[in-house]
Amino acid sequence: MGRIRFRAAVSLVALMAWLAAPPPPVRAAGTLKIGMILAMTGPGAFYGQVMSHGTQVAVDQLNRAGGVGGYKLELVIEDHKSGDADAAVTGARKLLDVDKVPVILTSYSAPTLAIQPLAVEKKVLLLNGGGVGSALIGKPALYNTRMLSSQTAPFIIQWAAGKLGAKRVATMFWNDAAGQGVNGAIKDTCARLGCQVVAEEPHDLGAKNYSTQLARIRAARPDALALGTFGDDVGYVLNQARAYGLTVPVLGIDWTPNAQKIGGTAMEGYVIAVDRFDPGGGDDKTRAFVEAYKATYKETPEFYAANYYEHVQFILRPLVKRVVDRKGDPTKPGELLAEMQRALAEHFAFPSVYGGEMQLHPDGTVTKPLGVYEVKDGNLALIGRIVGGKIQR
Amino acid sequence: MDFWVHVLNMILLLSILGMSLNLLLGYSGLVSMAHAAFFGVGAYAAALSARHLGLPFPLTLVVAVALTTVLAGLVTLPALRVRGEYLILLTLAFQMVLYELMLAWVDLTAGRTGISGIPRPRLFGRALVTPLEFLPLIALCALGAFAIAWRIGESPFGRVLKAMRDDERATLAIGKSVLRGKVLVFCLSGGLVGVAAALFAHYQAFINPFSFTLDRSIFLVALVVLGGTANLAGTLVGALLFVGLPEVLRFLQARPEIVDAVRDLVFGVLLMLFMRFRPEGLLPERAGLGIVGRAAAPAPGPARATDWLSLSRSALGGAELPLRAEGLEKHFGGIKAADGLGLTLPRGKVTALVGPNGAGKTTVFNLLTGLLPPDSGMVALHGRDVTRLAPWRRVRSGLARTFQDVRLFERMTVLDNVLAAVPDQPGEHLGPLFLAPWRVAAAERRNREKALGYLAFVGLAHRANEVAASLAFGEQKLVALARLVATEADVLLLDEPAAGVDAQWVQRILELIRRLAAAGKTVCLVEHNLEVVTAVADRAYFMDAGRIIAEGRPEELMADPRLGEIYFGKARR
Amino acid sequence: MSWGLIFATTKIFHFSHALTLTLAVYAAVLAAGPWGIGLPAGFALAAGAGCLVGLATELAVYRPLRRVHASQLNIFLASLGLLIAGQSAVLIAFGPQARALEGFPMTGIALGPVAFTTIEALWVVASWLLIGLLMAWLWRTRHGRAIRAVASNPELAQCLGVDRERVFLLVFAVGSALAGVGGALLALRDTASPTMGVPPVLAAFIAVFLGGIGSIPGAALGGVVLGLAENMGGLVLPGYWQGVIAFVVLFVVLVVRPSGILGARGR
Repeated sequence: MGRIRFRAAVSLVALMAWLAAPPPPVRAAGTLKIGMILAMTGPGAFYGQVMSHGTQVAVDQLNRAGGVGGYKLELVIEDHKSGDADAAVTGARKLLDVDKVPVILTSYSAPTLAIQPLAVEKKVLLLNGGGVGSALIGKPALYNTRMLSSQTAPFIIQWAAGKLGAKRVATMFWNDAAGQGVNGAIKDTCARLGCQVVAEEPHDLGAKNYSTQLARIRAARPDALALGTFGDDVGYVLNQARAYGLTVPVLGIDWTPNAQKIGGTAMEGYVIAVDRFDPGGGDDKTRAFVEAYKATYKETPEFYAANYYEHVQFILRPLVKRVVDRKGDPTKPGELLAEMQRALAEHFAFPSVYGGEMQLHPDGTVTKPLGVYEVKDGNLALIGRIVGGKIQR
Repeated sequence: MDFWVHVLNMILLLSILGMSLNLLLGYSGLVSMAHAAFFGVGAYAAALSARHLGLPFPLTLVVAVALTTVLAGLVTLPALRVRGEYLILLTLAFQMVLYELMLAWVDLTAGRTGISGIPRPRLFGRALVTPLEFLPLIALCALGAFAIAWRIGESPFGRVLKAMRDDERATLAIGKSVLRGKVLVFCLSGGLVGVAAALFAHYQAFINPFSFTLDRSIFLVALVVLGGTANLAGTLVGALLFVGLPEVLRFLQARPEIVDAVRDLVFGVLLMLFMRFRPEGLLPERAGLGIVGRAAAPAPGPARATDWLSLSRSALGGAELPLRAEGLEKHFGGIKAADGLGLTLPRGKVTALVGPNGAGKTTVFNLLTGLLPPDSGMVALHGRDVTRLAPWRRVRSGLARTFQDVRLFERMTVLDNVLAAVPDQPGEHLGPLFLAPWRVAAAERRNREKALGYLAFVGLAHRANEVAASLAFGEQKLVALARLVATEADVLLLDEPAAGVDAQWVQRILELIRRLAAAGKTVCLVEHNLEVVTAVADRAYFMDAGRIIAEGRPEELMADPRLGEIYFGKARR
Repeated sequence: MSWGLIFATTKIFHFSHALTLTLAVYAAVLAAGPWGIGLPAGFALAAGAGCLVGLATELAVYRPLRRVHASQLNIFLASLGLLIAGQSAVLIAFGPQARALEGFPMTGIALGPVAFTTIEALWVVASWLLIGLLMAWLWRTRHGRAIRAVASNPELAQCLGVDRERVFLLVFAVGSALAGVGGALLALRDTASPTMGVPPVLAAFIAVFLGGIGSIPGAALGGVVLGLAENMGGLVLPGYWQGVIAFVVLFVVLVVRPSGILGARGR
């Protein structure tokens, strides 16, 4: 018995060792692997899907045109199960160690923060186009290509105070760094513009029942409700807010088609300020992307697809080119990251799929075209642009 | 390479958690659905003490271990009274409270954003960063955890835990404190979790509540059960399979969302199939592997067995009436199970309690041994009032019993059943177990010989290494008798020692009872079989409706027509 | 309530009740959405699907386990396994996205300072109706009495000629159908997703243990106490502490009075 068990254990270990042996160097010279850690499973799987689609479109486009600087691009996708830091770290280890990627595209705040130290160790460039927590600011090797919520939140208060004449603002926000960042930004802006925050109600993510918070907000009699809430929760909050007889304008920083489905008619009139991708607007770059995406996936690309398309097409492509022009090897760890730092120091202008250019900052934040949108007949309608920190109609 | 080393590190960390849980689940039969939460608390303790207090690594480990130990100890407070589904629910509640706290107490834990930048430990002047640099530390800790868990599981203390798992009442009846066992094992298990937690926090350098979900607790329980309960190697194999294999699947070219779902599907189905067809897990428990190994059983003759009997007698004081009870009352709702009951048991004699069904005979045993607290009245042992003494302490003072339904520790060997009952084993205390192993080993050798002696006394030394549940009912009764003698108590209460046993065994049991009395033990038995009573008892009490209504020699009582009518009249109905 | 009924009678820690509920709700979602046979039919289908899943679980999982005398922990683990496997199957079949159960108009109702929605009004009416029906069934009919007999004393009930296995089947059928309807009611507001079953079943655990095992009025009372504690607590504490409150209440009750509020003392 004991011997059999021992042998079983030995063969198991042998199996693991065999699998653990470094894979033979199949990588053809001139292939650049791009790592991605996305929400491929779990409640956020929708995001993982569109993000990977967006990237795939860019990779296909570039490979058909002969690659970038002689390098074929290849995607390697790992899953962080909609926010599981352990899974993200394990996935990142695999990308860094087995696939030896020089760049990782991530999403969500927690997984991004979890793998950031690894990226620093391995000198790998991290691009995030999904997570919006303010903790993502100022982390070495990490560059966010989405405006963080604390950057966009002040504009909804400008809108509420300026255009709607709100004096009493209530806030409701995710009880995490992202939500609290929004709440803090709202309070600061209110103090500056002379309105009063009459209620602050944090809530759990995915809470689904907001009756207590809404009851207290109703009792505070606000003129406007500002949300620091993301994803599906926006739909639930609006649905219940309207059902409980809260009729004041609601403003926020996030809107998704799924939230729209959940909220239904209660979403009408919801106003957001966001670096929103407009598939119908922009310039030639935008149209080229939308058409390619539609041709492959038979649907109009949305915000997140655009952000990750942008990562490959408008950040990685110029960076790889610059490295190649310098006779460097972009697949070597550190090259792309160093090039990013150099480009930023030179104030290199990265194009944006939103139209025009975007400004990446050395602290890892970005400035993109911002707009104020209102939900009309189930769709977002642009009602104002933000230029130079001011809202214009 | 780093990737696979990382996977190995995770397997090792998980197996520390698994071993900690196996101590509870496998050895002690206690469920914890809160292990992931303990893990989380430990990780936060290490992370926060490193970040905010600037403590270096080994100290953060101490903080984490201290906190998880205390926390796990706290759980036992209510868990002492509850078992089974209550314990599942209680620990489930604990898991949820702690998890929600990690999410909600944003000021402390930063909620779901998590804590990043946990400093890497520095050992011998250099920081550990890569998985390979961490491997020796984690492997060392895993080895230590394995050693501790193994030492505990396979020690006399582990034997008490297993006894507790198999039968709590019987554990009390051999004079071992169930309470102490539960508190200690929960604390130890918690401490081991703390080790894994501190390592995890420093290794990942980032923690957030999602690593400490109910799902992970469930995963741990499943891992331990599938690997094999009360078998630490099973836990290692379980961790290797259920953490390692999914990582291998990563290399199959498939869509991750499908791979993940299919993996869970297979995991769930496996869990169901195992419960149905192989509930003991991949590597089953090995009964009877003691710390000294499976010593070849010497075959001591009956003379030697008597030596042990006389030894245990000489150790005790010599009152002529070792046990006296007065005015015992016990009510169950409106029924008086004991109604002003008093009795005395003389030394070296066999006293029988007889009476019709429902007269309250077993209740008397429960009152005397303390399994039931009396409403009023007094029990004196060797002239000392023991009415308020806990059941297991009474056994230590010299008052022990058997059960009508035997209640052996079914998954343990015959030898371990008897060995568990030997009093004053140094190996039941953590101090000697870890600090004076030579003393433990010596005592274990002595006790093993003693136990074999007791088994020889009942004639079952040749079955010493068999699992108790595999014995015939009559043999089980004999083992129970050996276990009773092993407690070295001198007042022995036997609850229907011959009931349900074939005639050939009855004679042997009666012979043994006579020999016990002859050796100076005070014996009291409850028996329905009046032939048995007349054959073995020197005197008898006749009970009806919670009172003693007659006393005398068995033959005299039998001859009383009034008692006969009560006995047979009631028995017929 | 439905979980309490099953637990009280069969003493099975039926975690995969969550799966029953989820599957039943998906049946309702399909009925009200793609199949277009309307919401009332969807509810009927949810009850039917729940009933079938419950019966299948009892027959295919629990009964064979009881036959080999599996311990309660092992049965619980098998139940967990079923839940994990089932949830993954739902995930593979329907995808991870939340799906709305369509067809019920949600509007606000304001009675002075109290505001609630039509869905919540429906919840209150429907749950009291179901509780009333269940109680009447348990107390007035022969089947109901058999169930209560098995719940309070299985050995005695068996002596009196009650077939335990058949009672178990009956309990699973009724309990699971109730869970299906309850789940569909929940999904009206909260939509359906593969993991939706776990929170309500956890809440059911708490309610049952709060009220006292084996006491069906107790389970209802436990539910009320739980709801009150959560919402009262919510008025004092920030809303996101609600999740903590429920389990703290349970913890305290288990420590102070392990038999539950209405449970018999002792044992």
